[in-house]
Amino acid sequence: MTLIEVLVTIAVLSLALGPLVQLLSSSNRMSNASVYEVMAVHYAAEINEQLQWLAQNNTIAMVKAATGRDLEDLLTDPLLQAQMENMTPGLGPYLAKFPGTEISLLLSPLHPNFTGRRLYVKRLDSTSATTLNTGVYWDVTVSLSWKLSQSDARDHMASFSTILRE
Amino acid sequence: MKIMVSIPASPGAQNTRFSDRGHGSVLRGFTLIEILVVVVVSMMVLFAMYAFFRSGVRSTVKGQDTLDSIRAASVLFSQLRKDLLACKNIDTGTASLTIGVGVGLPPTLPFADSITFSHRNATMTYKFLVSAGRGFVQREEYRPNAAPLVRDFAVPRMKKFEALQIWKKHKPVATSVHYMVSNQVLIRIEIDSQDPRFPTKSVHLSSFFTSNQKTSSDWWNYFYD
Repeated sequence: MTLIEVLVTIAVLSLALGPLVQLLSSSNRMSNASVYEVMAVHYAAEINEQLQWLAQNNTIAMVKAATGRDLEDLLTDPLLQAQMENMTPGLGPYLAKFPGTEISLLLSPLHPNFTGRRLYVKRLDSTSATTLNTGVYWDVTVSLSWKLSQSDARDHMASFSTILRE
Repeated sequence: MKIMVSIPASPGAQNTRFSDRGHGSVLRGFTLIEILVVVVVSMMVLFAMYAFFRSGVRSTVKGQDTLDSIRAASVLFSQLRKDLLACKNIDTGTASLTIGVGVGLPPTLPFADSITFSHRNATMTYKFLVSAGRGFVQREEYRPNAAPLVRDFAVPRMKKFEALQIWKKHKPVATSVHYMVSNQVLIRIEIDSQDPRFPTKSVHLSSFFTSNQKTSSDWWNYFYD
């Protein structure tokens, strides 16, 4: 066997390792993705729970009466979005205030790998003859995005929706 | 310098590594340089493979480990939420905070390591215990005329379980006369791996839960003071 043959053998063996390497990487990605998905569930649940409380206590209608701003206007306010994505290192649980009101959400700080926590609001069409036609309903989506590591090029995302009655 | 490697030829074998130069059978082996090159290249490949797999396996184990802890914590959070939603009273001792309108959270929060929910006919207490170096949360449920029900929630490598009750006042706008008060519970769990194979890994989980029973039913609330 010549040196060339030995080197070719090593090269071929190295190539064969490719699928194994990919398998390991993919396993890592899956496992890390699951961690962040579960964390995203926690972040979304605490927001949804507080929004439900505000809706049940007629707060949305009261705020609209006092400020003229509807839920979509309030929750998608850039100032609120900026507070929700506060990434100050070492930050503990904090309050995010709805701009122009004295209403706030208590929020857990985001894990450093999270890149976004945003709210999307859409008014549901309840004008047709359904049992919902007497109220104003909002579809509020909490969207969380994260990277698997600081060097991860793409954002991963999970969204959770809740329906609120004004 | 040449290293001669003698390999007995089997009858009939056509081994090209043997050459006949007219002086009988002369074995042609690898030179020392060739062997060194092969050894060095092999070592480099093996080392790269080792480093990659080592880091990969560590990362997988860490990820799986964290996931196990977070999933276990989720089970605990679910049970806490279930008890909280139907309770009539929450007791966290001195770990209770009232936040006025327009006021933020203080920099340091007073946490308790136990929390008790009182239902109409039952009392549930969650407390953080350590046994044989392992932390877990024990839920004790007391009902009249019944033996207490005890359930342990083991979260791998849990170092802290903290609870804080927060009364938060809300007003639609600053000039509003009336305000509402929400009763929320902040649960914090700290998971920390002290496994020397891993770098320090600390995970903080926190979640706010809102009690539906302990809130005003409309905007003129009975928490008015």
